[in-house]
Amino acid sequence: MRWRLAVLGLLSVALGVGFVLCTLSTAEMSYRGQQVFNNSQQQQPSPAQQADADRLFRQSSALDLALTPLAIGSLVCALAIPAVLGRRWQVREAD
Amino acid sequence: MKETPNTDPRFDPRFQRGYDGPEPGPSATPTMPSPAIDSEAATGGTGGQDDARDSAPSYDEPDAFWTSPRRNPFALALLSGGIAMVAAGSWLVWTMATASDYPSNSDQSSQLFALLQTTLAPALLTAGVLGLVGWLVLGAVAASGRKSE
Repeated sequence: MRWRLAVLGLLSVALGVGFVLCTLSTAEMSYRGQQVFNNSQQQQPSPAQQADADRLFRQSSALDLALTPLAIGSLVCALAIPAVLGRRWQVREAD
Repeated sequence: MKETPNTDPRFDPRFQRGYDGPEPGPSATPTMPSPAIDSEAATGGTGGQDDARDSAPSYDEPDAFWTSPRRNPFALALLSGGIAMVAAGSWLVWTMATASDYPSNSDQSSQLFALLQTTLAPALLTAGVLGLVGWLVLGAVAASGRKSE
C-alpha cells in the first residue's frame, strides 16, 4: 500500500513539473512567434523567419493541448492520496 | 458464609441450592473482569475493585458505551482540497470573464497568465469536483458500512 501512495505522490509531482515546464515553453514559443509577426508589420520577414514563426506557433499549440490533462492528472493524483488514506482510516476504525 | 455438605466447592456457596446464610449482596469478584478493571490493574492502579466498579460504565445509561465517531482527517483534507481547487478555478474563470481587454502581445507575463487561465481553470474545476465527489463517496461508503453492521 505504501509504495502505491509513493507512486501517486511522485506521479502528482512529475505531472505538476511537466505542467509548469510545458506552460513556460508554450508561453515562450508563443511570445517569440508573436514577435516575428509584430516585426513583420514594419518589415517583411524572410521566408526562414516566417517558417520559424509557423513552427513556433505549431509547437505552442501542440503543447497547449497537453497542459490541461497534465494539470488534471497532477491535481487528481494529489487528491487521491487523502482519499486512499481516508479509506484506510475508515477500515482501521471499523476493526 | 455457611457451606453445606451438598455445595460445590468450586463455586460461591451463597448462590447454590441449600445455602443457609445471609442474603447474597453484590458479588465481591465479578465473574468477568471489566475492561476498566483490567486497564486499572495494568496501569498499576491501587483504587481497588470497588473504585473500578464505580468507574465502570453502567448499562442503565443509554450512552454509556457509545463514543462519538472521530472525524476522518483525510476526508477533511479531501474536502478542503476540493473546495480550494473549485474556488481557485472559479476565480481564474472570473478574472478571464471580467478582463477589460485581451492580453498584450508584447507582455510575456500577461500572456503566461492568460495561458494559465485557459489551461489551469478547467483542470482546477475538474479536479476540485472530483475531490468533492470522492469525499461524498468516502462518506457514503462509511455510512453503508455502519448500516451493514
